[in-house]
Amino acid sequence: MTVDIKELDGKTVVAITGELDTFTSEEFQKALAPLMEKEGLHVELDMAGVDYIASKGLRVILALAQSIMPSGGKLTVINLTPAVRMVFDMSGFSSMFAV
Amino acid sequence: MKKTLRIGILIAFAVLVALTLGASCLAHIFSYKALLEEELQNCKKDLEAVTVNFKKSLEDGQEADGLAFFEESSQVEDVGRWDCSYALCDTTGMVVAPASLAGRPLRYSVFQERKDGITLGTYAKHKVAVIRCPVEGTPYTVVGLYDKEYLLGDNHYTEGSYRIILLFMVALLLLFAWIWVIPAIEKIIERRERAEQSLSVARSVQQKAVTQSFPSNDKVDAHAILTPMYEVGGDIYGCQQIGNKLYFVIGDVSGKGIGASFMMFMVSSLIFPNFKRGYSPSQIASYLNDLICENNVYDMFCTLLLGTIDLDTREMEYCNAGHTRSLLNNDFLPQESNFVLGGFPGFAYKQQKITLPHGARLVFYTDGVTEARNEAREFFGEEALLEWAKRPHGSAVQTCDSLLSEVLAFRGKAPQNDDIAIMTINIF
Repeated sequence: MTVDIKELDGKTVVAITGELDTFTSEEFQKALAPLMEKEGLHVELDMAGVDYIASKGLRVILALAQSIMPSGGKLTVINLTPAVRMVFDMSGFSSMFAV
Repeated sequence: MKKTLRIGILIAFAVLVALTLGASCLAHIFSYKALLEEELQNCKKDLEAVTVNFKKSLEDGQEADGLAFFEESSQVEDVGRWDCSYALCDTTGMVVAPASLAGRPLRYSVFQERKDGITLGTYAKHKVAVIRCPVEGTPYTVVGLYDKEYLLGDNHYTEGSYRIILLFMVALLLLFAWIWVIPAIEKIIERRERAEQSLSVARSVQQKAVTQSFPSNDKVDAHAILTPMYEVGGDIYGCQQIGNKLYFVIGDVSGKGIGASFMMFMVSSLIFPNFKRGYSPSQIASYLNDLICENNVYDMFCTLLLGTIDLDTREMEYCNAGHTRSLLNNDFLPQESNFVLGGFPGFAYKQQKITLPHGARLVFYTDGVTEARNEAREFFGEEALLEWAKRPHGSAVQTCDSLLSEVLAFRGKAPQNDDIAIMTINIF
C-alpha cells in the first residue's frame, strides 16, 4: 500500500494504491496524520488504485473528515473502483462525502 | 533513584560480570582442550614410531632388544610419576612386556572411545589417554598410556582453576535466576493469567449482552450465531419478541478486541430498552449516533441494522446505518443506506417500511461473512452469498449453521480475518 500526497490547485491530493485492510490502514493513518493537524484543508482522496477497503480504512477516512471539516475543510473522494464503491454506498460514505 | 531500580542495576551488573567471567573461563578451557588435542596427536605419532622400531627389531631377529625397550621405558607400575608409559600386549590383551606385568590384562576404565582410536579414561585413578597400535604381521599390540596431567603440564592446574571459576559463575547465575528471574517470569505469567481471566469475564459479559434465547413459535423462528476473531469482538445481534412485535438488531463496531467490545456493549444495551419505550428504528439510530459521537474515545464507528416486525401484518420497519445488505429469501432486502453511527452528530437517519411475504426468510450478517478470505486471498463475496441463499436451509438454527459452514469451507486453512455474526428470522 502506498500513499502519495501532493498539492494541486489549492487541493491536497492523496493518491492511494493497494489494499486498505486492517493492517495497511495503520500505515494509511500514519501517512494522513500530518493532514489531520491542519485547518481548512480541501483533501481529495484518489482511490483509483484501491480495490479493497476494510472498516479500519473507512475509520481512517472518517477520522480525517472529522478533523478537517469542523474548521471549514472539505473531503472529496474520486475514482472509486467498483468494489470500493459498493462499500462506500453500503456504509453511507458516498452520500456523506462528495464522490 | 528508586531502590528497586538501584537493585535492578546492581543485579544486572553482577549478571554481566558473571557472564563475562564465565565466557572467559569457557574460552580458556576450550584453548586447553585444543592444546591437549595437539599433544595427543603428538603422542600418537610417538607411539607409531615405537611400533615401527619394535617391528624392525623383530624383523632383524633382535626381539630381545625390542622387548628390552618396554622393560626400560615402561613405568606403568609407578603411576602418577610418568608422562607416558608403554606396554606390549598379545592378541588376548594380556601384557607381554614389561615382565613385571606379564600375563595380566592392562586394566583401565573407559570414559570415551574416540573415532581416531584414542581412548580417554582412567588408570589407577589418573586421567589417561590410551592409544593402541597393532604391530602388523605379529600377534603384538603396542599400548601407550599418556597421563593428561603431564601432557598439559602446569596448564593442567590452570584449567582446573578455570573449571572451578566457571562452576562458581554458573552457580551464581542459577542463584540470580532463582531469586530474580524466576519471580519475574512468575509475575509475567500471573499478569497474563489475570488478563486472560479479565478477557474471559469480558466475553461472558458480552455474551450476556447479545440475545441468548430466540423466539421460536407458530409466527416466528429466529436464531443467531457469533464467531469472534479474538476473545471478545465488536459484532452485535439481538432479537426479542414482545406480544405481536419482533424487535431485531445486527451491527458491527469497526475495530476488534476489547475496545470494540466496550462500544458493542454500550450500543447493544441501549437498543431494546429504547424499542420497548416505543422509539422507532430511525429514532434509536439517531440517538445512538449522537451518543457515540459524544463518547467516542477510540475513534470508532458502528454499522447497525435495526427494525421491528409486526407479526400479525408482517410489516417491517427498519433502519440501515451503513450495515451490509441483508437477505430476504433469495435476494437482497431493499435498503436505503444511512451513514454509519459515530460519524457526525445530528445526522437524521431514515427508515424504510415493507410488508414481508408469507414464509419470509431474513438473513442478517456482518461483513466477516462477505469479506472472509480463502488461501488465494479471494473474498467470499455477495455473489457466493446469493448462490447460497437460493438453496433451502430449513429452520433458523439450520440456516445460520449452513451459512457459517459455507463460509468456513470457503475459507479453508486461511485464518479468520474478522468477527462473524449471522442472524436468521423466519416469519410464518
